[in-house]
Amino acid sequence: MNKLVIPGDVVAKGNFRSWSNVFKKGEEYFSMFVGRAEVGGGRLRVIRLTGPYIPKIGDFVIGVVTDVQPLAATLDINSYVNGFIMANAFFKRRIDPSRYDLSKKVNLGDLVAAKVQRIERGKDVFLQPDQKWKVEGDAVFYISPAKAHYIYTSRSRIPSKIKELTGAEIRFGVNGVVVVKGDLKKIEMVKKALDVIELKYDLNGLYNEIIKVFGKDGKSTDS
Amino acid sequence: MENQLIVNGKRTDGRSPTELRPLKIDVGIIKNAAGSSYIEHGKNKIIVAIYGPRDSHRYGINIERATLRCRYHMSPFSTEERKNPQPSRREIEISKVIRDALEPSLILENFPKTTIDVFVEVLQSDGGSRSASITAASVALADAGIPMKDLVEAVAVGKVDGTLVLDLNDIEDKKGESDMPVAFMLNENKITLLQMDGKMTVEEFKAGLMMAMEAAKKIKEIQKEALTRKYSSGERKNDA
Repeated sequence: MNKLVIPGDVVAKGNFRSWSNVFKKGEEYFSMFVGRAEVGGGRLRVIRLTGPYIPKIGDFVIGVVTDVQPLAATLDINSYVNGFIMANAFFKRRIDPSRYDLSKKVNLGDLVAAKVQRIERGKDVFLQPDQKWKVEGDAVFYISPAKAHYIYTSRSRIPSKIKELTGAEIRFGVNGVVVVKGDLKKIEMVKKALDVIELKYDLNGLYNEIIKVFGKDGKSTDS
Repeated sequence: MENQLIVNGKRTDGRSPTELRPLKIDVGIIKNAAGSSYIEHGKNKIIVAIYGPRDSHRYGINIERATLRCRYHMSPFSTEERKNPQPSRREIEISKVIRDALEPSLILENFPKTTIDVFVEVLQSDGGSRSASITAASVALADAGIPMKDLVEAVAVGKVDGTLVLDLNDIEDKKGESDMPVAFMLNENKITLLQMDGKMTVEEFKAGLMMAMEAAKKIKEIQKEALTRKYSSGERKNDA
């Protein structure tokens, strides 16, 4: 079952072990978002099709450094909140800010890959830099955070397939940030694939739609 | 006879007393906005754009949940005579009314210390622009991915020539005996807006409310159809 629901629609009735993006009233579960409902195995969830990136602990995100202070760097993580990385996390030990200069590690505009470590007061998002935290690329794309979240949390084959078909070096963030490294042709191919994700709302058919763009031989077509 | 607004059971625009004006909603018309909608309700033409949730550092911001802000504005060309673009007392009041009508449907606790902006721009005005704005704004909020319990739909009922009528147009609004805009959250069985100009008896009020509720069900179907059209499976079509 994978039907389109809008806010206020009854998604299911009965008892479920877990549910997300729905609210319960009596025996019924109502959708809170425009999305696709998935019911099965005692689980119920509505996959959002639209909306901002809502950080969750453990999410792998890519952010742009917007501010560097002695004790922390602030990142734009394509959300309604900023992400913070403490200087200690970059140096991997407790540091004395008078002796260590964080701006030697990161600068404004740098792309940083990190994991959401903790969220305080519902809004302050603290990140832990990835082992390969410095993200270098030739192009940065933004896709709908709601769909990006679905693609990465559903064990979808889409990211690996795009890498395979384009041959480009790509890093995907759950927050919808995609960084591509490669020549212009590869970047254009990746853009085509991302356009499919952005423009199609039928999540079940996304994988096949992307394959279609590249044709049977994996080469880009103009269709 | 000349001054009558209902002749042989028909109103000035040919509708019966319980008939809605033609209603059309499009979703996602403004690419820069988080969510948007366009509504044509009779001669009303209104665009709604949602921006946010956005990080807010404003003094007095709610630390428990998002703050909903609403700006209702009539374009200078929306009326027959030029309208001063400066916000009027009426526009400020309607902005507040729209915000209060939408707020109960939203789950704002998910976005503490942020702001969600609702911009309502009336391009062409007829009677009932506040109701149309609420209907369109609710769809735009769903398009923006703001969590909500239910869509909100609004419609006005009133009394013209001693007859209860649904969805008043401009002339009926001005010359009628009373006007009562109502907004509903049908799933929750709640009324989020109820205003009234003029006078009605208790019986008329009850009958009017039932009439508005029946109309709200039809409006909800149109809202759902508009959202379904965008998100069903096809490509995004209405990008500006």
